[in-house]
Amino acid sequence: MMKRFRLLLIPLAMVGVVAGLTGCQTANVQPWEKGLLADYTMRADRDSLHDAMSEHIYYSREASSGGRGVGASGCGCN
Amino acid sequence: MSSVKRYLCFSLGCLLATMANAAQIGDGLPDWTAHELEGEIPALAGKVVMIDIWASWCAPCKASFPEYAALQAEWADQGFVIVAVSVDRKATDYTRFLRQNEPGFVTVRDVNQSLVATLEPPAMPTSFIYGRDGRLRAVHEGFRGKSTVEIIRAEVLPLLQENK
Repeated sequence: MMKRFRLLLIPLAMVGVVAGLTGCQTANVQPWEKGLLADYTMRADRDSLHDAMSEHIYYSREASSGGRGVGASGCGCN
Repeated sequence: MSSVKRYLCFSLGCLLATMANAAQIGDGLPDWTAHELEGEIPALAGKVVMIDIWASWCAPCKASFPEYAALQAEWADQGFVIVAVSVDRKATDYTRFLRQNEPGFVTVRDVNQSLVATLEPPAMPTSFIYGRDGRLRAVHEGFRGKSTVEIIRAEVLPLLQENK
């Protein structure tokens, strides 16, 4: 029983070592594979209307004048 | 051989297999026929060849095109050939870019990104410069305007003088 357990444990440990050494490497996006990341649809500022709405929500919630664009107190007192 | 040794050898083999691909100085020109390419590769025997890896979505690649076109025009009669290999997934992106930018050198598209996977460029764009003997002499990572052009110029000129 113990011998069978050890026989199973060794391959599992080896698979773990191999996965640890090579798994993260294969997860890297290579420079030539970044076309999708560079696509226009991946830009956070691609929709000006959406940006304006987001800024409005942010501004209202934070109760500060100007939202992200203008420095303000954020105390809700202006 | 014990099972532990066998598994250790297997692990080492897997590790080496993941590390063995990238182009090294002294390597020969890639085997063009082993990859699906859109476009024609000209005769390169005895020429100084610069393989430029680019993509339509890569802004520095676009900036490099006029500079590389000028180099190609200047050294064409001395046996200098630029082969620009696009890694665009979509053929339409590739053709639209070429229509708008009209490069003055050879361009092909690496349809399955298999050629680029053998060269493993560290950045976009990357230029691989081969001598007349077909051996890799220099690799340039990225494009930084005139400074990159000057470096390429300094490296290619001696290669053009070799075995004329």
